[in-house]
Amino acid sequence: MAKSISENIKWLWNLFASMKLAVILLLIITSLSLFGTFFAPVAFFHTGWFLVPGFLLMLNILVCSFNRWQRIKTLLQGGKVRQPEAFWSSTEGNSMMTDLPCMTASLAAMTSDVLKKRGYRVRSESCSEIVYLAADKNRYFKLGTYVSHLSLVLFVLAFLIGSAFGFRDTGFIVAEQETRFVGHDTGLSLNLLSFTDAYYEDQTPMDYRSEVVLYKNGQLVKQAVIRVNHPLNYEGTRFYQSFFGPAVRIKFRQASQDDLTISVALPAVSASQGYQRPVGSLVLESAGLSFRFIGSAVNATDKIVPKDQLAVEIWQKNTQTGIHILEKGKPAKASGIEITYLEDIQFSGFQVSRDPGNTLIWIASSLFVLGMIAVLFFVHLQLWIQIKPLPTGKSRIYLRLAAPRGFSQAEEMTRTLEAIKRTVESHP
Amino acid sequence: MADLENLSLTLSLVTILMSMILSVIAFINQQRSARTQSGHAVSGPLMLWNRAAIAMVVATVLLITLTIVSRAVQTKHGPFSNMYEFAISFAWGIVVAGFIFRWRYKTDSILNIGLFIALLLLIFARVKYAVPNPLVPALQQSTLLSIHVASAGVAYGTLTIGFGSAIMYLVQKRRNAPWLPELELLDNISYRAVVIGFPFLTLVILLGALWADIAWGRYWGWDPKETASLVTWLIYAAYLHARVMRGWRGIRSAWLLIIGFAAILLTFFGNYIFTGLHAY
Ligand code: HEM
Repeated sequence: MAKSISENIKWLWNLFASMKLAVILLLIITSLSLFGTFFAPVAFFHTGWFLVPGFLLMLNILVCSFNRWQRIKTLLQGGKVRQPEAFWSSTEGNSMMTDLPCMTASLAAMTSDVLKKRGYRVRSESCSEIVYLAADKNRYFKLGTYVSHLSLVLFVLAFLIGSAFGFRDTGFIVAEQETRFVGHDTGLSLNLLSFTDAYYEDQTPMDYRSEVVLYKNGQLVKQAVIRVNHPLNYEGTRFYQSFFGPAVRIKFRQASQDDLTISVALPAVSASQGYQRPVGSLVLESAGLSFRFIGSAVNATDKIVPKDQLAVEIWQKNTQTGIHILEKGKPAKASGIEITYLEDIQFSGFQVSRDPGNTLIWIASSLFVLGMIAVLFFVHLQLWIQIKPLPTGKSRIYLRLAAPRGFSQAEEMTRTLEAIKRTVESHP
Repeated sequence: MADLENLSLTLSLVTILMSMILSVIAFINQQRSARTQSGHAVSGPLMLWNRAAIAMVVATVLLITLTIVSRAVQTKHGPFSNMYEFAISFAWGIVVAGFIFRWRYKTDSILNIGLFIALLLLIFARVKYAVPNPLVPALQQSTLLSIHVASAGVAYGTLTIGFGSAIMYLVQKRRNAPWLPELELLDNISYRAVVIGFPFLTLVILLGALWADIAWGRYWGWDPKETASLVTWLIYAAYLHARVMRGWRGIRSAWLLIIGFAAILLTFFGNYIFTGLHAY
């Protein structure tokens, strides 16, 4: 029983160490992504159907990396220099042989020089007049595989950090001349001085810009212009220009109190009887009232709330106490309070977010690219050489090269041999 | 400038077509001479056809480059604002990559598949011609987007060459044709194409994510075009791993490259298929 458990664990370990699982998981995730794009809402990518294979892939990477370490370590140190005789009898395309008019020892020295000039690290051993050389190149770049694969795990980590410790508010609305708290323990509040939308002659959008002032715990900390592609970043909290819409300035006058002028955004839409009207609401604590402002329709000529007029519903607790139509610039009395609809302004909609994982995402991205370039473009080469004396007084040199598939091995060996020959010829 | 742009685009259509015709003639001649004087070096007139074909390819590269440059002079930004501009960049990537691979591996068959696809893209561009329009706010990120699209041109271009070579591989596997390059060479060309294309594909996605982060405040949002590019990337990642595995070399790897190319097309033409933030 105990044996079968350890066998099972071993089986699982080997499964997760295998590249086959990697390819299968990659193809499964590919298919799921396609499915998600065509047949499912975006939320699909946050369900177990997608996350579980992703998690398995990460596990696959970790186990695989761990499993490979012994081989990589040997490779970095450099394996055996002296290879058995059978090794040299290979007839595969990755070996070459030639006879040169030179003593074994000096040929070995020259070969070693040539290899070093060509960027190889050379180690040598000799045994009964035969010299063995082991040379390798770019061995440290082999570590790039770790850099690139572990950076993929960092991506996931960055995403988790972002989800756990960050926030994202996609509908942070501030009307012109209004200040709003950002919340989420930031201590920040944003004041919108003005919003401008500009268009080209053909009415396509040219620019959306919000002039803002940022306060932290009531202290002014930054004044900036937020535009698309130019977010405001303060201590990791970022504000993006996202959308905009109508707003109104309203003046309230209550008995024995100072006048109060407030900006009210009308971001919602109320659809009734074919009219689409912008709607916004406001709570006036000092009067114990709440208001719902309804603008003139944007999709048709409004007969009930004409242009330059504003409907207002007044609520006390949960009961509506009245509905009035306000004319621009004319004070109106309602529920014991005087309300004036002063002017039309705009509101700006921001996305506010803080993502502590963001920097890590770009670090992981850079690492992935660097690791991949290291492996793909600085190919690890391992060359074994045997030099032995011939009865004729010449020496025979064998070369055997190990390189990844796709690398032009014959070319590398021919060039190396040519260089050795030239050196031999230039030394009488 | 608009006239120059139109003229060079039209001329590039002519030269690309000519280079294909000349390659075919060179190829047929090569067949004949191979049959009559087997084993002999390439003869004079044959070289001539080949050279003419190559001259036409060079002319095509220059003309497409001229089209892109004269367009950029008018719009004052890189070719990233619509399908017309992007199709031309894609075609440019294919022809340049094909030319370099032809020179490096001394075989034209792969270039020809590429040329055919580039021709289709240029025709598509011609049909989709769009007058230069000013940029909407989200696109006012010229440097980033220019590099994004240039990388896409290189990535898609080289991966198209890899696709051509994979097709040849499958044909060669069935036919064992002496007039096609050897299996090993075809496999190597595909692999080299991915070795260059994959890092650029990675760059395309990362720069896209960086732009999304700056413009929309999120680096990834599962937008259909984003997801399609991820799918493409995953397929080529699978290829890189499959190639090192026994049983997945050769035919299966070649199929992965063909599926990968289908994914590129899906990403490229995706905005006609699904709606998303990418209008291009
Ligand atoms: C999203 C998942 C993955 C991606 C994007 C990816 C990417 C890559 C890339 C770009 C290469 C080539 C260059 C380099 O080594 O850096 C590579 C090679 C490699 N990958 Fe992955 N990989 C992934 C998952 C895995 C997994 C799960 C394993 C474990 C089985 C794995 C094992 C390897 C190995 C062993 C190599 C070296 C192959 C060789 O010797 O040529 N990879 N991978």
